[in-house]
Amino acid sequence: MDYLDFSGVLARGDLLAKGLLLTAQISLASMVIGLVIGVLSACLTLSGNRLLRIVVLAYIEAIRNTPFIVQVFLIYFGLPALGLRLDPITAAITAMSVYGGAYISEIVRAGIEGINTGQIEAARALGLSGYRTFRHVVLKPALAAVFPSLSAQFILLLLSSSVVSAISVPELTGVGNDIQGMTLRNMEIYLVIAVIYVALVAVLRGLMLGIERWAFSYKFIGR
Amino acid sequence: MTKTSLFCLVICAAGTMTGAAWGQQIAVPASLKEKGELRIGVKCDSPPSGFLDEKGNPAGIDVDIGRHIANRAFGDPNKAVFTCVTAATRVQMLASGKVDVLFATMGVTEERKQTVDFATSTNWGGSGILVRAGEEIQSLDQLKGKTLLTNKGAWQIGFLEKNYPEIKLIKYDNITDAIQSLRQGRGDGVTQDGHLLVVAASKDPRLKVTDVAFQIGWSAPAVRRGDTALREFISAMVSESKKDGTYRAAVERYAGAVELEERIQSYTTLPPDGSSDQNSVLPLP
Repeated sequence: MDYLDFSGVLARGDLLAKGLLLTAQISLASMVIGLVIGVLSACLTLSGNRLLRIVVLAYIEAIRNTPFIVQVFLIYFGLPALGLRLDPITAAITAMSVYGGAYISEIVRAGIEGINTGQIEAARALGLSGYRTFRHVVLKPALAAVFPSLSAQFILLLLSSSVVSAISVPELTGVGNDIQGMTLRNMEIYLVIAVIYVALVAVLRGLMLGIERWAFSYKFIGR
Repeated sequence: MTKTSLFCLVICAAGTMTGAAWGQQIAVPASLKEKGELRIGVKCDSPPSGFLDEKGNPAGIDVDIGRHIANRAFGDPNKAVFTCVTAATRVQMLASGKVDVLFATMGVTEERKQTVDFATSTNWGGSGILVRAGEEIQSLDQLKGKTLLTNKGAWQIGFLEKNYPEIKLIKYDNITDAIQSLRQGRGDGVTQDGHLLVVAASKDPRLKVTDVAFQIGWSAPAVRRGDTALREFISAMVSESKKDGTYRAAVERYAGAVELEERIQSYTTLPPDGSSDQNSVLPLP
């Protein structure tokens, strides 16, 4: 144990590649679904319907005040008691989306609340419909304002995917645990996995910057 | 010199030499004496080997043996300090010096021997399959195209992936989650060491262990690579525990009535295929 030997780990590169691919897939799926949940929840928390607002706020508080691993177990092991049995990958995406959605909701809500009411009044005065006012004058500038925070949340969501290995999802950490069981080379396998996660985050950060430049190009004029 | 006195002399000399040799074998390593305690990593989710009792304290066969070793080394069974480990954390706990020895249902494989030093094996056992009551499985061939559940780090994984790639394996963090998933119908069976599955089946009438047994293997305590003194000490203590009935008492205490004799044999005799402990420092009794 006094030296590092990566041979056993690197010999199983195919397993790591499969784990990496699954991590990317479940993370991207969760980001998209989580963003939809987050935007909808943010809108509902600002709506005039008191009952809807209370329900959504209860969901957000429940998610933000319980550990992610507990949520994963509740969805995977708890739902069968209600007659709903999800396979591990579906359960993982569901848990990550619900978890991400709660945090994204608060980020988006802060962005919406930061929009100057004068802009909304100006849009109405120009005759824009309620939908177009919301889409172009409220939501787009709100997302532009909070995009760095959203990017950070997406990175956290990607990293939280490691938790779902607990319900047998063979993503990167899960595969790492398998390799560790075969080789007993803890330090080596987790070093390799850490490097892969750093690379994944770098790719995601670049991707988010590209999306920001494409979707909110006006932010970059004159830079 | 009469024949009688010569005989007495030979017997005394043999006794002295044997005693000296045995004394050498179980000499407490200096590093252990300095610490004044034996830090042992045990499983806390694998009855009867290691589990948490009603008060949340480690208990089980491995824990009793650990206390016995501490008593022989320091004259006090409470000098054994137990830390719960999992398949994923056990080697790091050992390598980082948080524990001195692992009594953690660790299967002996050639690849693992490159990372840790194994002492004399504690027990052998066949791998088994746990299914829902009412289901019949006579052979592993019947499971081709089906799903088996197990825990990460289980040595059954390598055997099945190599010899039965058609069997889908789902791996959980611990065996408890795998068994719960079986109850929920997420797989067709759970595979692990037979004696662990027998305990699970005895606690739940909805489950049963099939007659399918495969891959006889050994479990052994592990120490850090190169820690020869501690390895030899643990080996001597394991062998002594088998001879003096300590293991038998521990198995009787924790295994209950279910397949008790078979369990005792797995700790005190060689397996039916005659394979010997490949990593013994001392021969098995």
